[in-house]
Amino acid sequence: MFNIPPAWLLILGALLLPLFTGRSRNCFLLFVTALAFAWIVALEPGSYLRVQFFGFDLTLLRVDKLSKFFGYIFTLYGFAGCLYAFYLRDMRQHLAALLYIGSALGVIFSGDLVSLYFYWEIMAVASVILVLAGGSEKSYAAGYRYVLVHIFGGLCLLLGIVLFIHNTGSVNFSAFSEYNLSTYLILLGILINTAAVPLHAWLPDAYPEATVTGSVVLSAFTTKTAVYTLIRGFPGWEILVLVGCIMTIYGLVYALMENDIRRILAYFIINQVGFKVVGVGIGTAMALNGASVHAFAHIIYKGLMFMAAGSVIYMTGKKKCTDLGGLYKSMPWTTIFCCIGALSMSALPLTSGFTTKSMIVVGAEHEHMFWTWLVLQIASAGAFLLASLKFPYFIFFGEDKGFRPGESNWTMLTAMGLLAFLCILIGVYPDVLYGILPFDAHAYHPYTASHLSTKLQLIMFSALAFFLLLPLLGKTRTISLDTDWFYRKGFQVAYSGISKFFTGLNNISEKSMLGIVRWLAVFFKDASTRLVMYVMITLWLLSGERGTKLEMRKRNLYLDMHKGTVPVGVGATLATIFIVLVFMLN
Amino acid sequence: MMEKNDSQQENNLPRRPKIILWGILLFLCAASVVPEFFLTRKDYFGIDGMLGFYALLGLTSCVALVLLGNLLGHFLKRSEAYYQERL
Repeated sequence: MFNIPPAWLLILGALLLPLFTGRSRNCFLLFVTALAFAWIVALEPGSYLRVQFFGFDLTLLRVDKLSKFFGYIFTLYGFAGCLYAFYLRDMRQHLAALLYIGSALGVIFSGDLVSLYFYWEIMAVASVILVLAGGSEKSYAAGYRYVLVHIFGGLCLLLGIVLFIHNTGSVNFSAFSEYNLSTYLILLGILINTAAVPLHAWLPDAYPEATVTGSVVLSAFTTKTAVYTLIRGFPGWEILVLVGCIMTIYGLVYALMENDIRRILAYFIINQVGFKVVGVGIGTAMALNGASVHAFAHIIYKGLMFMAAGSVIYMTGKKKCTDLGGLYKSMPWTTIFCCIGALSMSALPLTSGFTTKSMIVVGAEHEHMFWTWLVLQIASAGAFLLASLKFPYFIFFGEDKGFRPGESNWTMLTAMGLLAFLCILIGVYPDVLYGILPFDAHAYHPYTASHLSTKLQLIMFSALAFFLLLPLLGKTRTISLDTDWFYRKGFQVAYSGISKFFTGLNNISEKSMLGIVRWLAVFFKDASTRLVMYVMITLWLLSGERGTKLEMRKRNLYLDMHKGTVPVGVGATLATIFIVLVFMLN
Repeated sequence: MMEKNDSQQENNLPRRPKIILWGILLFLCAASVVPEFFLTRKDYFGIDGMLGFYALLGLTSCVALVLLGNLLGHFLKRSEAYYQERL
């Protein structure tokens, strides 16, 4: 009875949405997401709904520990997001959000590559609508670029899937063990969705341009669904370790330079997803558990931070760090919840990050991967500095800009409170998650004296660095160039360069060709006149003509040659002589 | 009116609390290193068993990241109108 994919629940909900209006629609959204959560709890592990589709064996519902694990957090966060968006009456965004979350669940629970691709593309379309709903010129431009990047990613994925099916004949989605073109293409398509550097620029480009609630919903699903597919399909692929390490540092460095608060959060997403990608790359059960559990915690605390940022934007209308400051007085609860989220991101003891992120680091330790481990520790220290100290500092503390907006409305606060509560719950009582870990690894105990002491050292000295370097950490009213420069300005520059080159070449050839032709025309016009004049003047000079009579004869001859029919006669005479000569000489 | 005065006054924290806050920070930093004297930590890579390694790691990574960020910012920052969106 329960063997219906949870995705269908949400999609059906989306279809029924027009029946509701106003507040009842928001309540319906809450109901649907809560129902989906309960549904997932009730699902039994197994593969169901095998259907035949054009000769392929599709498995429309595959339930196991991993898919259930991700299903829980997706529906939970969906519920929190719908609660946060309770004030929203925009039908288009509600519809897009339900389809988005529903198709994300579809990807999670599909057992074959064809349905995976189908839901993947629906996710892309639904998320574009959320970006476009931002309504400004920048939203449309960012949405346009988002579509292009995701079409490219989708095509890579499709090509890879088609090649894979052709090579192996199987449609089943499980760990890929062969390193060939088809699997690499699938990996590329998935990595674009995880925002792997250098194909990541769509994320900080598009997420800040969505609406307040749009960003909250967007932040969780595209990247984490891609992480799920990586965990399922590519465990232990070493290239992921390198990609992930680059992502962690890249995200932090760019977050340092940015001014728009949601763009900073977007770069934090890249940083944190980098940890998960490294976890998948390490591939041991501990590391994969770490990646899954970190995804769970990350969705919660990143969502919380996006909610807090969204509230600030909603209440003040300002979205840049340079415009904000001193809000803790007027938005105390938002400040507290944001700080809880930020501290979770930095893995402070008693928060969810501490009990989850460290599993990936321990995975690296057990595999004796020194440089990877070092990069992860550096990224953790940097994440504390930027996320827990710098981010709340510039928005809520720091230089007071004099705003006194009201506190966020109560549904926003309840949603944030729910997520903050979960952050602390997972931190203080991690067995909530450890009991449902998707992979079997030996038990992990985060609260050991050595772990606590080393973590506190890392954190306290990062804090010291923050306060020492505070003068260097000012924000500027600028943007920073990222890899999307290549397809935004880069193509323009290349195009105008090529255009200038070929236009210049055109101009040069035109000038020279016309010049030659013009010169030739002038030459030939005058040539016959000159020749005849030359001959006649010599004859007249020889025959003794001088003075004005000579001049008059010269002028008459010139006029005759130019205006009269003399050239025709001369031409005819010369031609006749030429023909006679040819005839005679033959 | 009153609020405007408020914000101007609160721009800078007065002196004394600042010193106290620094004191707390430095105390906490020292306190985090103290347990190292009493613990035997298992180290995985040799170097991470060194006394105060994580403290050093935290400090240097943050300083390095901030400096790197500022350096890159020097090259990569542009005005907000750089891309001049045209649809």
